[in-house]
This record gives sequence, structure tokens and C-alpha cells, in this order.
Amino acid sequence: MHSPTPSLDATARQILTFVLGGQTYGIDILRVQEIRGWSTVTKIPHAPAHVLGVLNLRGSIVPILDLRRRFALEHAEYTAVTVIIVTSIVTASGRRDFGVVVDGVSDVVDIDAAQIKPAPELGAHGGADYILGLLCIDERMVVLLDFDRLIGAELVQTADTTDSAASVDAA
Amino acid sequence: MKNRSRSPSARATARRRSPAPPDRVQLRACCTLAEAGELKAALVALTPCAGPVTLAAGAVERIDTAALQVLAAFVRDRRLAGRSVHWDSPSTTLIAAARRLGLSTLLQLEGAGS
Amino acid sequence: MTVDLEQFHAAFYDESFEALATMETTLLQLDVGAPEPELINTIFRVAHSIKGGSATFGFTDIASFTHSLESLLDALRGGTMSVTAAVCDLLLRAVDVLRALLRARQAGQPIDAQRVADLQFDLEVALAGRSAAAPAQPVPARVAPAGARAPSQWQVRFRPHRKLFVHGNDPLRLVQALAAIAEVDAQLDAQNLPPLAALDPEDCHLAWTLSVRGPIDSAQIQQIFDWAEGDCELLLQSVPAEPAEPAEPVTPPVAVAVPAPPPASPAAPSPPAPLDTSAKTQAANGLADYGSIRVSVEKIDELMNSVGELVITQAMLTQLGAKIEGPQAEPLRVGLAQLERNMRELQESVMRVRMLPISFVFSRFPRMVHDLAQQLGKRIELKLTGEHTELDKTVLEKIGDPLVHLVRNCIDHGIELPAARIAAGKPPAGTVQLAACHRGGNIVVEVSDDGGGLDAARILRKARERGLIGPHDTPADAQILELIFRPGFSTAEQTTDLSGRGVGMDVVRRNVKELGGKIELASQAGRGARFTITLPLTLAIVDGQLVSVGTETYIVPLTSIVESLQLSAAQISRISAQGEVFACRGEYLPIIRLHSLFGVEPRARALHEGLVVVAEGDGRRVGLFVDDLLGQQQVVIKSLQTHYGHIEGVAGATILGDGAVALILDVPGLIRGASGRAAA
Repeated sequence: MHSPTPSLDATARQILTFVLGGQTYGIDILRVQEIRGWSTVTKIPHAPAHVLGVLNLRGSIVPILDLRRRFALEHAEYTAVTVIIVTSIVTASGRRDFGVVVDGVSDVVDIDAAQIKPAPELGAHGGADYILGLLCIDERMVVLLDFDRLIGAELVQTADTTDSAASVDAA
Repeated sequence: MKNRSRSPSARATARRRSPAPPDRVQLRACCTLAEAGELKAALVALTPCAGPVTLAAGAVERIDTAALQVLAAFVRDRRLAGRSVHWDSPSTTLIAAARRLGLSTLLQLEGAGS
Repeated sequence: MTVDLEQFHAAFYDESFEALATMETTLLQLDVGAPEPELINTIFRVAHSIKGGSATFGFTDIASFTHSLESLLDALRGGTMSVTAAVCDLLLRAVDVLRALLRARQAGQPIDAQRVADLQFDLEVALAGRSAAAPAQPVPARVAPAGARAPSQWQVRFRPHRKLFVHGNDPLRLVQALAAIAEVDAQLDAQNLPPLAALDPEDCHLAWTLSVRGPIDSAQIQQIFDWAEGDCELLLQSVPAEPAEPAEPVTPPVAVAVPAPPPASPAAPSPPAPLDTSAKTQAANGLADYGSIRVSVEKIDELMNSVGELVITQAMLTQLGAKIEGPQAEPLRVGLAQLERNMRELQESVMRVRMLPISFVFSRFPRMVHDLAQQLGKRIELKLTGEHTELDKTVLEKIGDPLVHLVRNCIDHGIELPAARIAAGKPPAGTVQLAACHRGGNIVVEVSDDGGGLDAARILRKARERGLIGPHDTPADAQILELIFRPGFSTAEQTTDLSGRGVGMDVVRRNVKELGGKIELASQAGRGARFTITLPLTLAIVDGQLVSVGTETYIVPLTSIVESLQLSAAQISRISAQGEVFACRGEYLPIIRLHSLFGVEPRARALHEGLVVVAEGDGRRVGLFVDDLLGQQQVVIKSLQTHYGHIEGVAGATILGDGAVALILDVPGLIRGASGRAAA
């Protein structure tokens, strides 16, 4: 659908903000394909913990990722208001679609690249290269995420090494 | 997610209340476009019959494509519903006409009369 | 007004490449010495249409080259020059040059002008040299055009309009009239026949394809159907009296051309002018292609996807309909049942559109075999059978390379040199046979030769050298043959240009396996070898058994299932090395608990409480332990790899009636995984 747009370049004008564990995050709106309500996913074997399963998105089988688990936040129940943001990354082997589960979608916001402040160094522990920067909107701090870095490498790796994690619990 | 096949019992009971449907139709000597409507009505009346139905076709002397088409729709519908049709001594006119138009299989007339 | 020619370029290239393929095939069929005039005509027509097209688009280099080619062909056609092996070879080279020219044009790359000029020169020399040998009077060896040929067989597609009956026409009468002058075999098309309840008996919903055999011409057939003029669609097609496959004329790729009916008043047929204007030829081509259209594969795939979605929606509605009560419930269910039938028909029709005859792949072999045989100094006859066998396009695309490899293997290693063959009491020319046929739900392709067969001793020696087996292992004959499929095996004494390129039989086997197929090999010393490839007809749909494990539903392909059973406690035992096994028809089969393998909470944990599906893969059997069996249905296979990746033991996924995703199990993968774990 779209050509490989950089995650959020200087000219980006709009972001989608969403809430997860009380914190507001933002991603490039151009990367968002669809926002849909929660529905039960089909579990897939040998998947890493943050891959909840797969869903049918208009005829394609698409993995659904749990950002809470990815950020090591405490688990929340999936309810009727839980939302899935369907987005995509571009990898060497082509475009990959996936959905991320978030607590709720807030808004679409116009931003100016000049407003973005670099993320503070979080020390050795941080390694948060997937944070593009911070932004203040209506006195709330918004963390701008780079999905290519946050999910890209992992999703592709997952895809290639899924067989090792087999759990055998012969009852 | 569960694709268990549905039991047809509910429908079966509903049907049992009405009087027993006919299970036999006598085809007329002349089965053409003019009689096709009447033929259809007679066959539709057989539709609810769950058991085998009989088409008595010994008297057929004239038949055309329109009538054959009605018969074909009936026999095919029965087969799709898993119900059977029995031909009672179909006339050679009928058999030849069906064969000529490649309808023998659909009408389940194969092997009849030979 | 300016016309943007660019948009026509793609069509021109497509058609030209097809035309060249036709030309090549036809050239290879030409019998040196006694050429069929019709074959030469075909080649001429092809060259002529390329010339016309390239001139239209201003590709003067191609047009000029084709002009020389055409002049030579015209001489052959007119009988002023005879068809010799040298001429055939020259023409084949011309096909190569034309192909290269077109490719260069298409890619916007420079052309090899020297090569073109050289061959053009050769063509002109050949043409100039003919006069010496030519007869004084050109022999008019032209073949009369289609109308007057009175072929032995016609195909008539007869599709009445709805109002045919009420306008006083009766197909039965028409067919009877036709049957009075020829032998008629009617094939009914009742696809559009509605259920009886919905049928208006005065409307005609049937259609026919009539095979007409007899000494009659198109005008006579036309005359009979004149009665129904305006009330039907009629397509008349002559069927060449080909002994092998009378069904369909061999036409170049993608679309099957159905010639339009000849004009209603057949004018006196006039032979085509040798060098008429291209406009006229274009018109003739347009007419010939009347019954077919060119559609891009993407469009068909889109259609497939939409139909897949429709099937899912329909299944959802059917489930919903089953739950509805009340007076409207019954008519609703009748309607839904009808919808389901229509959907199935639609799905099958779309699948059929994707089916292509295997001749698309076979067609490359005559040239390849011809060239290889010359190169190796062998004499080889290629036999193709079952070219019309159809299979899904995706399978077709992937089977080409393995077949090329097998055929090369036969020519390189199988067929002996003529002297060796004579010494062995065989005819000097070897035979390589490619045969395709449908068997059950599969397509079977055989590649066989009457060469020396596989040399078991040499294979064994090689396998030992390569360390594939131990120095003192003595495998049985069948196992020796299996060795050639092992990675790193190649018996070529020296690396030839042909087979010994590092890609071996292991790659062939892997490709075939990826298609869900298998390859078998039989060999007889001195008599030849035969490779048999069995493939599924399509990769898009599988017949599956739905099974439930906990809250999940999985699909086991029916082809993998042997039987399903409920175990009694007495059948089950535990062997420490292999885990749980059960006794089944005299053997002990390992049990794979799907719930523990896939990390699902099951409803049944004790083996006798659930069910065991006995499944087979790679020649081994296992029992898959599940909670319950659900229905069986055809499912559309969707890839998990597009957006996720490969999962061991899972072949893909599908979407069920309620929109949920279910995984399709890969039984051979499960078995391999299980034995891997057991061994660990």
C-alpha cells in the first residue's frame, strides 16, 4: 500500500496517539492502516510471549503483538474497549503487517518537527533506540515510537527462529 | 468456530404435522412448453417428500427442451438434497430426447431403456 | 489527437513472445523433406504478425529483420525453396535473435547489432542461393483457408437466450436436425439452471457444447441454427483431426482462442495474399481472438481472494441461519443452501480459470532436447503425452525447473551414445518421455528414458567417497537409488555444461516437496529410468478435517489422515525412549499430543477421553491426540509467512466460517519434529 516511508521524518505532520499503561505514545499516522476493536486471536505455537496470536484482517493472516508485554508492563484484561492498531513495517522480504494491542486510541495530532525533543539518555539500562523523541501535547508527554526498530527486527527474527521455543510438557 | 453439522430433526418434525405429501407423478403424453408450468407445479408438490419419489413416464409421446429442463431441475434438486428419484418405465421418446441433449446423466436416466 | 502507444507495448511483447514460442514449436515439428504446408503457413503468419506489430511501433530493426525472415519463409511456402535441416537450423537461430531483440527492446537495452546483421546476411544468402535449385515454375503449394477445408470435426457452442422457447425454438429440434446430417454428441451445461421452485418453465437456462463429426461444412451448421438467430449465442470452431487430443487446438499461452463463427454468408474463400498489408492481418487476428481475452494474473488472484472472502461470509450466514427460528427460518435456509451451492460453483469456476495445461512447461523441451542432443552427439526422440493435463498456475510455475533438471539428467546420464546403444542391441536413437495425467486429486508427471538406467555400483562408490554412507554399509537397491536425492551427491564423472552444476537431485526433491508433492525413482539396468512426480492439483485449497483442542480448532489435511479412533486404555503403553505409543493394526505408533506441542489447555488429558487421528507423512504414521473431531470442509490456504513466518508443524492457516483463523497442520513436519525431539 505504501512505499517505505521513514518512520517519522522531519516533514511528518500527523501522529496517532494512544494510551498504554497510563502513558501516551505516538506513531506516524501514515503507517497506520486500520484501527479495530479487540477480537479473540488464534494462538500460534512456539511464539514469543509478546506475540498473542494471529487474526484475519480482510483475508490476510496477521500477527497481533501485545505492547504491554513488550514494555514489560503489567498485564491487563482485554475488554470491549481494547483496541488493535494495524500497522506495517517494511523489511528486506517485503511489507509485513501486524496489529498492536493498546489500551485506547486518543487522537490524531498535527505536530511540527521542531517540537520534538530528543529522548534523555536512560543510561546503560535504557537502550531505547526505538524512541524517536518526546513531545508535549496539551501538557502531556507523548513518547514517539519507531516501530521499525521496536518491532521490526524482532518480528523478522521471530519469523525465522520460531521452532526452537517448543514447550514439551508431556502430561 | 465449531462447525458441527446441524441436526435436521427440527425441520423433520415440523413437516410431520402436514398430511403425507404425494410421492408419484404421472407424466402426460404431451410434455411441451405449453404443459411445462403444470408439470412444474406437479413436481413442486413432490418436493417435501423425503422418501423416494416416482416419475411414471411410460406415456410420454412428445417432449421438448422446456419440459426436459423442468424435469432436470427437479431431479438435480432432489439429488443435491440427498433424496432419490425413481423412473417408472420411461418411454423411448423421453430417453432418446434426453440422450440427444446430453441430459441423461443429469436426469439419472443413464442405462434406462437399454 | 495523439495516441499513447506505450500502453500497447506490453501487449505487443506478450504476443510476440508467444508467437515466437509457437514458431519454435512449429519449426521443431517440421519434417525435413516432407514439410506440412500448414506448418510453414503457421510460421509465416507468426513472422508476419511480428513484422506488422514492430513496424507499427517503429521498431525498425525488428521489422527489418523479420522482413528478411519472412521472405525466406515465403520462398518455403511457395515451394521455391525446400525445407532442409540447415534451413531449419537457420530459422531456429532467427527465433533466438528475434527473442533477444525483443528482450532488449523491452528492457530498453542496446541490441547486439552484429549478431542481427550476421544472421540477416545468412538469411539473405540462403534466399539468394535458392534460385539454382528452385523449380522453374513456383509450385502453388498453398493451403486453402479454413472455410473450404471441411474438417472432420466441429465444436459448436450453443448458448440460448432466455426467451428462446417462447420465440418458438426448441434446442431439441435443432440438435435433432443437426443429428440428421452428422454425428452429434451434446454436452450439457446446466450451471445456470435455477432450483425448480425458482424456475420459470418458459425461460431457457441450459446451454450446450456440441461435438459434430461428419463431412459437413460450417455453412450447413450455421443454416440449422439460423432458426434461432437472435435468440442464442453460437460459436463454431473447427477441431483439427489430431489423433492424440481432439479436445482443444494447441494455442499459445494464457488464453484459449475460440475462433469466431465464420461470416453468415460464406464468400468464396480466397487464399491469403503473400505480403498483404499489416492492417488486414491485424483485423484477421482480431477476429480469431474474438472468443478470448487477456487478463492479468493479479486480477485473477484478486478475484480468488474476493471469492475466498465470499465463501467465508456465506459460511458465517449459514451458521447464523441454522440458529434462526420462526416462520421465515425455512425459506431462509433454503436460500442459504442455494447460496452455498452457487458459491461452490463460483469458487470452482475461478479455480478453473487459474488452471493451465502443462503444455506451457512441456513446450520448452523440444528445443532443449534438440539442442542438448546435438551438443552431446546423441540421438534423442522426445515424446510428450498428456500435454493438456491442467494444473494450477502456481504449481505449474514451480514445476518447470525440476522437470528441466530431470530431463537434462536423462539426456546427460541416461541416454547412451548411438554406438553404445547399437552395441546394446537398442535403436540408435534414445527416447525421453514426458507424460502427465490426473490421478485422483493429484497430477502425476513422469520423466522416463530408455537409456542405461542408474548404475547402482557407481552410485554406491560415489556415496562412499562423499561420506554419505559408511564404507561397509550395504544398502538395498531401493535405498541405493534414494542416495542420489541426498545433498552433495552427483555422479557426473566430469562437470559438464549440463547436469553437474552443483544443483542436484536434492534440490529437485526439495522443490517437489515444497509443492506438497513427492518424487519416486525406478530404474532397470540397461533398460532405462523413470522419475515419477506426484503433485497436488492446486496449492490454494485443501480438503481438511477440523479437529478441536481446547478452545482452538486445527485443520488436518484429509490426504494425511488414515483413520480416526478412540483408544481404549489397553491399547496404550509407554515406552520410555519414545514416549506414548498405541497399538494400531499390528504396529506401535507414537502419539503426538497436540495440546502440549502447541501449548493449549485441552479438554481431555487422558488418552482414552479424546480421539486419536492416525496420520501419515513421509511414509511414517503417528497418532495425533485431539479433543474431538469437528466437520470436514474445503479450506482456502492462506500463508502465515507473508506477515509472520514459518511455524514448525504448521502448513498455513485458513479462515473459518465465523471469521476466526485456524491453523492447518503440516503432518510430515509434525512427524519430523516429533522424532527429532524423541531422539534428543
